[in-house]
Amino acid sequence: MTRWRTGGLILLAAAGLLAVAWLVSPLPGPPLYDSIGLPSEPYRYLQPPPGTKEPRRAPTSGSLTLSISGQTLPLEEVATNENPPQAQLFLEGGALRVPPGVSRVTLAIRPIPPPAQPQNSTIDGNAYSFTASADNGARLTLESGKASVELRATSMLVTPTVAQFVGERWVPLQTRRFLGTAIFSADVNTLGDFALLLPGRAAKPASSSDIFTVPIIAALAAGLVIVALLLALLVRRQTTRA
Amino acid sequence: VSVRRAELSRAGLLLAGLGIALAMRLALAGRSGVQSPRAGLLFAAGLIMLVGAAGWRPGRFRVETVAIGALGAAGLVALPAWLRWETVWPVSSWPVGALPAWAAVVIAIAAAEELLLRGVLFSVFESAWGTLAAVVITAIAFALLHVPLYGWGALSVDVAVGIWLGGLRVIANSVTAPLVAHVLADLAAWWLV
Repeated sequence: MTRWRTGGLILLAAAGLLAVAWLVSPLPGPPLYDSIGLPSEPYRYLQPPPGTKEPRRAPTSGSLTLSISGQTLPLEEVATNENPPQAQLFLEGGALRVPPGVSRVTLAIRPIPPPAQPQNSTIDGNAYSFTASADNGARLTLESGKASVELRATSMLVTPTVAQFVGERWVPLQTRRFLGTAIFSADVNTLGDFALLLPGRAAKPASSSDIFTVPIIAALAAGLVIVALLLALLVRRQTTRA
Repeated sequence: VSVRRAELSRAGLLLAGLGIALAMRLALAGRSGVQSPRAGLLFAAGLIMLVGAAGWRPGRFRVETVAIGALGAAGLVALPAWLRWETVWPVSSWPVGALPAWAAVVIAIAAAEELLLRGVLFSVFESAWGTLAAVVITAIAFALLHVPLYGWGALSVDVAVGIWLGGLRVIANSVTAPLVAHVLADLAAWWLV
C-alpha cells in the first residue's frame, strides 16, 4: 500500500474519530487541541482568605447601559475589568425581554460579600451580583437558554461549579470549562447572585506561587539531562556498531 | 532482534524524558497550569534536548510537505472556525499586543512536541512495529501528554487529533507536515477562542 493510500485511510479514520470526539466531548463548543492561554493576573479578592500572598487589589465591577429601540436587546456582553475578567455576562440577541416604555437598560456586574456560605462546599473567589435594570423600573426577564454567566476560578488547578443563590441557598448549575483556562460558564434563566463552589469545607490558602518547590524542579531537570545523556550514549553506540 | 531492542530502549528513554519534561512543566507552572509561558518554553527546550540527544537531524526540506501540513491544519480547524462564526462564542478577545510573544511560545511548544512525537518516536516505532503502530502509539502519547493540562475531557479529541497528525506524517513521509499542521491549528486558537 502506498504512503498516500495508507495516510489517506488514517486521515479518514481520524476524521471520523474527531467527529465522534467532538460530539461526545464534555468540553464547551468545539475544543481546540493544544494551545496556551494568556497569563492571567492574580485573582482579586473582595475578602482575601488567610494566607493570600498577592498584593491586595480590589476586584472591579462592570456595567453597560443600552438605548432600547425594540422589545429585545441585541447580542451583548458585560465583563469586569480584570485580565482576564473575573465575571462576565453574555446575552444572545433576544435574551432579555424588555417591556414597552423602557428606553434604557443597564446591565451590571459587581463583586459582593457572599449572601450565605454554602453547605458542604466552599466559595472559590468572590460572589458576584448580576443585574439588569430598566430606566423606568420595569421588570426585565430572560429568555431561557439565551444567557450565560462566566466566572474565573482562583486557580487553574481547581474544578468548581457555577452556583446561583436562590431562596436562601446556593444551587449548583450545569457548568462548562473553557479549555486551557480557569473560566467556568453556565447557562442561566434568571440573573442574581452567582459564585463558584468547590466541594469540601476546607478552603486552601490562595496564592499564585508555585506549588512545587525549586529543588523538585531542579531534580526533574537533572533527571531530564541524565535521560538525554543516556540517549546520546545509546545512539552513539548504535552508530559505532553500524 | 538486538536492533529492535536498541530502538525500543531509545523509545523508552524518549518516553521517560517526555514524562519528566511534562512533570517539570507542571511543577514550574503551578497554579498557572497551561497559561504559564515560561513553563511552556522550558518544556519545549527539554523536548528539543531529547530530540537532539536521540540523534535526530532535519532532512531535506520539501515544499509539498508544508502544503500538506497547511491542508491538515485547515481540516483540524474547519469545524471550530465554522461554529465560531455561526454562533455566539462567549469568551472575551485577547489584546493584540500580546500576539507575538504568545505566538512564539505556541510555535515552540507545538514544534517541539512534533519533533519528538512524529519525528523521533514515530521513526523508532515504525521501524520496530510498523506504520500503524507508530501512528497509534504516538497519538496515545500525544493525548496522555495533554491530560494533566486540559483534563480527561480532552483525551478523546486529542487521540483523534494525534491520529490525524500521524496520517499527515505518513502521507508526507516527513515530520514537517504534522509540525506545520500542529503549529497552525494552535495559532488558530487566537481567533477561535
